[in-house]
Amino acid sequence: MNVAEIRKSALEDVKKAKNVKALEVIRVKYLGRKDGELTKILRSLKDLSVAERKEIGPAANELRGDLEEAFSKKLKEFSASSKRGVVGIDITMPGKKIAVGHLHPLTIIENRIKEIFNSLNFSVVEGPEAETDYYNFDALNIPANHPARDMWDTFWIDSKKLLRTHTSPMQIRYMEKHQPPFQIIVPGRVFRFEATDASHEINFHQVEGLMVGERVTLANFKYVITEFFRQFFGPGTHVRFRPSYFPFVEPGLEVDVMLNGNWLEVMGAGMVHPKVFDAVRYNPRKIRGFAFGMGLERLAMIKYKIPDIRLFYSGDLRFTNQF
Amino acid sequence: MKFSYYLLKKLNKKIPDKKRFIDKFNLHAFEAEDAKGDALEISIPANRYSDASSHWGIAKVAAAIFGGKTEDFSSKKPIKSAVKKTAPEITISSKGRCPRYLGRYFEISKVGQSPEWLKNILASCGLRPINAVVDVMNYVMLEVGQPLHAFDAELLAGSIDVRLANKDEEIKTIDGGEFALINEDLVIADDNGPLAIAGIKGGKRAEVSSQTRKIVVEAANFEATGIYKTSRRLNLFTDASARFSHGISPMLAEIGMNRAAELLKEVCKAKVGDLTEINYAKLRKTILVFDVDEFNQLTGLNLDKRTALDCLKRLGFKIIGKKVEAPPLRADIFSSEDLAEEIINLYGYQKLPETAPSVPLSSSVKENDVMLKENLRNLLRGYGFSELYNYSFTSRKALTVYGDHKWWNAVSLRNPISSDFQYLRPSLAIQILQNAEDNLRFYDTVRIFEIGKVFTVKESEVDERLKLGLAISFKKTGDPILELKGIIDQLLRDLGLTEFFFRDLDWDLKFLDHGLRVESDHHVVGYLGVAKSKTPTAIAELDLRELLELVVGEKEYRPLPKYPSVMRDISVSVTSDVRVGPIQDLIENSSHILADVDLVDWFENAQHVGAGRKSLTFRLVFQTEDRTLTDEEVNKEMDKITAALKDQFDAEIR
Repeated sequence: MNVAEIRKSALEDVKKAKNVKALEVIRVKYLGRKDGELTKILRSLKDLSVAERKEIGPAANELRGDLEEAFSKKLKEFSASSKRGVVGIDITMPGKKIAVGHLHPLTIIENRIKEIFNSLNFSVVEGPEAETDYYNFDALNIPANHPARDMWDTFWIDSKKLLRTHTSPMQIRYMEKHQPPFQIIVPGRVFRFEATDASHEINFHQVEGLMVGERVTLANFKYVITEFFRQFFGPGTHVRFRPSYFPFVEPGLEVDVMLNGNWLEVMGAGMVHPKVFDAVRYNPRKIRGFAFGMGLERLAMIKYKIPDIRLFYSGDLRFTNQF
Repeated sequence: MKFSYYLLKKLNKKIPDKKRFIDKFNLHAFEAEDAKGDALEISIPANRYSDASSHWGIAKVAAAIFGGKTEDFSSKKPIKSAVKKTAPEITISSKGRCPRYLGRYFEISKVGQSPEWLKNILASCGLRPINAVVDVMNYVMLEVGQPLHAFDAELLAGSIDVRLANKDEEIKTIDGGEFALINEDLVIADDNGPLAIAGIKGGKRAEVSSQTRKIVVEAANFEATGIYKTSRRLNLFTDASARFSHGISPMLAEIGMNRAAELLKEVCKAKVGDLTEINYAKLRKTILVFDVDEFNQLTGLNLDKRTALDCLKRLGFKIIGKKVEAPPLRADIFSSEDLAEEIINLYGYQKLPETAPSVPLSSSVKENDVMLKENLRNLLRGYGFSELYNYSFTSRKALTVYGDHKWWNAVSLRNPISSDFQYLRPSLAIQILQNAEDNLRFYDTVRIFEIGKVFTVKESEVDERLKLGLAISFKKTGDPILELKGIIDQLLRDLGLTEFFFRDLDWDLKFLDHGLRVESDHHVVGYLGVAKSKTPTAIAELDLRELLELVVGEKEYRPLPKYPSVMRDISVSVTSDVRVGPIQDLIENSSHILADVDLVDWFENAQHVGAGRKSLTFRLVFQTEDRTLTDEEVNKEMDKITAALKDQFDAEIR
């Protein structure tokens, strides 16, 4: 190789060098004390004619300077990039695990519900879990010694005080203290005296809803709830309304959504019963409203395909940490 | 309630195939599903037992949906008596509890088996065939909704009386049960005592058997709550008690008796005898004004009057000018809302428009405690804590782990589902400590929290409080308490609290080795401490109601420092029993140009500091807002601090 050829190939090699080790190999190849290509030329200068020496000498020496500069520049590049952690670290290694916490799936579902209803102008309020039979039953048109009460198997604390069997008592508590128009949702824990299995728990969660005003209609209810479920389950969700019975609404209905080809019952609802308005001293001839209630666990089970309600209360991080 | 599709179809020919029937019935009437074979399961709403807890009732509802005519059992004429002077002697001592009682005498030559068609219908409805007489009684109940009972007339002693049970009276029922009655229970009795628990179950004494030749059939009406109470108390629920407890029309008694006579004659070849009837029932017609505008205002539909009234007509309502009269068996129609429900159900919710409400706009808000909970959850999640939900219930065993269960003042339930769930949880700590232990089987470090209600008895009232509980637990070694303390510190700052203190716990928490209370503005917000656990565990609980009263503080900008700060480290050695808190307090309060103090290192090492002593290194940052501090100035302050430390804590400066 002549000087020009060495210049071309050596600079090319330096440019391509991937790491410090490769660069050293290249340095030895061209500038190595024993067999370096340029070293050989420089060493041979003394055997050349003066004319040849004059021609090649300066060019070879210049190339030596250029190469040394190129090597040191490249070396600096490597050390800088290794400080940035690029070279010397295999970035295909797994990333460092970040210690993050997880919210319980029921919290996530509740948050989503609150978010949707907030966007529909509903406020969020909560109520006590230990209730009186008046708020839990009587005021909601569920008289004592009537089998309708059997729809809610109850844990009793004493002869008057109980663990609320639904979030509906907050309808009464809220209306006692506020005047319409308003729209609220009430998330909270409720209790049922019943044997537990994959779909029944002795405590679970509901979200109650109540919209009251002078011109609230059943068609408004259909709009709000259809809108809710489309936001919750996705835009194309089919929602179905059918007759049902709850003592504190009239008409009463049940709401189903269609998922994977099946109608799933997800909500009980209706227009607030005139007797409920009587209990809070609203004029039932002037004021109307709709109320609804849904189970958080049920929605979470549908949404996340959780097969057993008891998992929510297992206290197992392997469960929570999936969400 | 179980129904026979075959019988429904027999009563109304227009009923379509089972699948279509179920689909449409769900959308326009009651929840229904296929129960295999001929059987259907239909949920009768609690207010519809009077008219719909029978095949006749369901067939009438079906007729409104599918059209067709249903046989009218109420227009049947009573069969004339063929055995004269056989009227049963009946009195009602307890009028309030028994508005109507019909008793009729029949003679039967042989009590045999029922025909197959009858047995099949009973089987579809989940009833076991017994003998032709009993089967007819049951069948009539299924068909028209009136529970009946037949007594062996030759086993009756004297006359029949409907009365309250005497104290300590007992009865053996036909299924072999034995019940002690109280003075509130209604019985059908003869001169020898109770023959049946009224409206619930017949007694053994006058039971119809294959030897029976003469019977008295009872078709009565009983006051609902009385039946319900007795049924609950005796825990005895029957097809009859279900119907009577919900309240059924006294009209049904007559309808049922007529149908029973017809069938006894047809199926058992009975000779029909005389009828005795006592009737105190006042039948009231339900007549309501129907206003279609009101209907449209409630539903948001825009129906014309004719369409709306047509729905009512199909359901058996009579239209009388501007008024409508409810069918006589309907016990659930009181108001215009009730009429609206009838119409919209039949008209169909699928035809109801979706109309956006138009109401005055007011801002939607979240209550403070709702906001606080959301904030806490998001913050804790950010700090690496995961959320768990536990039961609101706990056991006496769990409450006893740290001593006497009474210490907790836990609320005990009157009717716990089992001893594992006897009490309401008085604290989140018990379950969270258990969660920590359980989860260490799968994790080396556990950082968990729960937000929930706890309950205690306070001055014999239930005190319900919303709490945050959190814990850090390590599988092997380590000291999580200072991490938890740091978390609480940061949490309170993030919530906007500026003034809060950790003080020694001045009350006894049995599950802690030692702990601190968290205090702000003279309120105790909660505690934190080292738990008595097998593994190193720190736990804390904060009361959200207390926190809510404190959470204040808008952030306000402070000018960035214009002058450099001066940093000095100071290492002191003190005897091991001297605590860091007071030392740090002393340093903090000893110089007005001191901006910050931090403990940066500490150790106990006999070789370096001598036995029984520990070394503490604090980093002090001095700064003022108006000038650059000189070395001299800072030295002077440091001297002051060292002097105070020597004086108060006998500290050696290292």
